[in-house]
Amino acid sequence: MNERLLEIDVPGAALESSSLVVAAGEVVALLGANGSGKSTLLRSIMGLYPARGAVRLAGEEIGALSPAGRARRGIGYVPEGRRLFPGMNVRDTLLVGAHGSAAAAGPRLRTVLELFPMLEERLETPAWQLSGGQQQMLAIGRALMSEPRLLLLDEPSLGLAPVVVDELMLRLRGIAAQGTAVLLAEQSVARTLEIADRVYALAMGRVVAEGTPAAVHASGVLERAFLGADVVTPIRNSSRAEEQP
Amino acid sequence: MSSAALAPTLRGLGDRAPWVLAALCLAAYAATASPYGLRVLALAGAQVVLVLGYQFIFGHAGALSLAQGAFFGIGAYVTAILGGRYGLGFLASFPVSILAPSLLAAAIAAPVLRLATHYFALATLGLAQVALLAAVNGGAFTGGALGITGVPGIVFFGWAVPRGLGLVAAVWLVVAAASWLSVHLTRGLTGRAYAVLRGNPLAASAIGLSEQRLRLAAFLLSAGYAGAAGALHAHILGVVSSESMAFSVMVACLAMTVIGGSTRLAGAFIGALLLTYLPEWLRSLEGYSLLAFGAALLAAIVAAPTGIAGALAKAVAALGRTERPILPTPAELPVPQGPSGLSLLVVRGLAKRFGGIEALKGLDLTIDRGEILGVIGPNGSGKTTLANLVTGFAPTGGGTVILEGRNITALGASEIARAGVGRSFQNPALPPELTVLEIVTLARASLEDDLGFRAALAGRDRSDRRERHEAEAMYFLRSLGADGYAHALCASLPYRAAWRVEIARILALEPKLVILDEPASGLTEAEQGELARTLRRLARLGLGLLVIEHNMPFLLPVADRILVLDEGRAIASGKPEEVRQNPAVISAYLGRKVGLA
Repeated sequence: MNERLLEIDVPGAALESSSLVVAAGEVVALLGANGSGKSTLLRSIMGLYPARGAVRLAGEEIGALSPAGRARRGIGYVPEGRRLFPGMNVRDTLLVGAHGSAAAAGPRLRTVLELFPMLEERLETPAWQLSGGQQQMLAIGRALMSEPRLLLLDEPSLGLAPVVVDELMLRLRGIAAQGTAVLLAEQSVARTLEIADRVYALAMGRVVAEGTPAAVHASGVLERAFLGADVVTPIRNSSRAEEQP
Repeated sequence: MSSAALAPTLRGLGDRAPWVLAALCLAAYAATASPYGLRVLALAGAQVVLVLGYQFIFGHAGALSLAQGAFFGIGAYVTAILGGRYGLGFLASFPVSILAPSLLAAAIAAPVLRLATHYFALATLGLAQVALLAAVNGGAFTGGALGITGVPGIVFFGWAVPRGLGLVAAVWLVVAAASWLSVHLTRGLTGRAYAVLRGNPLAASAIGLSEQRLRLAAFLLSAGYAGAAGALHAHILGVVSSESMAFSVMVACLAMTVIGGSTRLAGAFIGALLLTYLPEWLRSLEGYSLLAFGAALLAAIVAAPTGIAGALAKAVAALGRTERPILPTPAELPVPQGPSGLSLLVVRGLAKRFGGIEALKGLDLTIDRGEILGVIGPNGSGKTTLANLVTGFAPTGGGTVILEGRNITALGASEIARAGVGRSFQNPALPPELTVLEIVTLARASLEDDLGFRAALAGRDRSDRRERHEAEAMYFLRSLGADGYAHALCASLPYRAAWRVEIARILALEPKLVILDEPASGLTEAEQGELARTLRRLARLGLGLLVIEHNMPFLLPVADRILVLDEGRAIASGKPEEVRQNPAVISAYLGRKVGLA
């Protein structure tokens, strides 16, 4: 059963339906340009957007469940735009994330605060007073508090300092090592390829490639998926010399 | 007349036809109505004026005021006291009835309008309660609980307008005047400016529109209209008591506005007439009439959440042709002047404290023309606070901000935007119900005008000027490659287009300094490359840029200089390659990979 913790039907490149699979203990990355359907896919797994086909969690069809029902089945979700409760302080936000399992909340709180020491100094601070990056940490922490079987992250690195992103990516690997399935959508390709076990490349809502980071990277499909008809411009070389007069 | 010239005239007739028809129906009904029917029709007219006024503050400015009933009552009492007790005619008592609630609104505006939504509702509710208590306990002056009887009808220079048809005509003349004024006050860019205000107040300030001033004007107008409505009500009934000021007046006004439609002229008529006549029609149900009334209201709200007028407009739009709107031709604008001597921005000792946390501890920085300053630092190091203080979105806790030798420290956000500092936000500040072209046009127009009601009334946003601003807006949209999105609603804008629109609306204000807060976040590497080239292009035009960013592969190549913040202080500053080698920066912020890259 662990082999296929999550299964969701998604349209494939040639219109035939294929499925996206995430196994327990695996970090799977969704890559693709803005508007390629990454967020929509995560939302349909969470039940916030109608899925095109079946969604199965550990073999159980969950397509008819509400988002809350899916959260209770063990899906954690870090949405785009953080979606915090502005007036609620850091401690309460994290405790709410534990879904009421009071006994487990204490140790889980410790784990989250170890990952984000900055939050520990601000336990009593209301969410709206946090900086943008700290809010992002809180949103991720809140999802981790439920110790989900499947963790969905929509661009978790947004607004985080580079050291914190490094730390977060390492932690995601650590979380997966304990048996959680991690599915993340990211823009920063290089970093994501480093930590992912497998990659799905998306374009116009369809899966255009699937495989190990090395294989997908080598296939050249990422350039096409990301850039479409655009010209390839490696950002690292976009120095002044390259400008047009 | 050629057919091309005829078309707009015909369209104008088409727009007015429903109004002409409605007016004829009303006149026909009035001509045949019983005295009781005429009285109800006159009272409904007063309610239309009340709702028209409430649309300013509730519909256009988007603030839930609960004082509209009190303003109505004050207007009624003023007319009763001046007309009934001192025998003053309509021409004297009516203006005072309008002025009195407006002055009260002005007096309480300063503290009350600053409050956030639900506190504003509570504060205005408090005002309404105080006004009601004053009316009930006013002794002989207000007639106490019994009120004032013997209020005369409408009297011009000693000539009393006859009750019945004459009074109805007089009241509906006032309704027509109030409608004309309302349409002319909220048309064009001013109406769109209010749409920005209620959709995204941050965006209003960012494009140079003063939130406070727009809201104040709406509040005063709503009070004035309520006073006028109260005066008419007093003339029609001949009796004014505390009932004219009771909370039920406010509730009815709110229901009329929500059910009719809160920003459309037709909404005021539909809401006021429906809620006046529905109880009359349901009277035959006797004991069940209140139940039926409640059910009808509920049904209206469920079926037409934007009001009946909104639903009708949507239906008409769906029926009508869907011809693609034509894009205005972009104007050709002169390239701004090149650099001169002075430093563009000088910040000295900038400080800010939030409760116990010192977000900034005396920061100094300068930016020259044509320079891109990158600001990096750990989360919570004060980067966004720096942007907020320089742009006036938060008050400073010490220090000075000098732009081209001018001290802008104490200016408000909208003034700083017009003084030449543009900014973006971590989440694009684009009001959902406006189109891309509208928001950039508004930014452009706010350079010349505050776009308040005065501008609308003076017709300063009429066709030729509006066309010019639109053409100029197209110039900026085209230069960002976003002209294809001109008629797209901001709410439906894909993320990859939002940054282009944000920068276009910043450039439309002809800024000298542009502050961008994490502009590359969420962009693909190809889009980041395009953004980087755009930023270099702006710098070459002589603009100074302050770019807050975590994305080092994006920022380091594009920035001339990097400032590193940590815990509200500058811990390093210098050329990107120097900062990249700085061991303190690597350990505090960059981490292993980027440091070695």
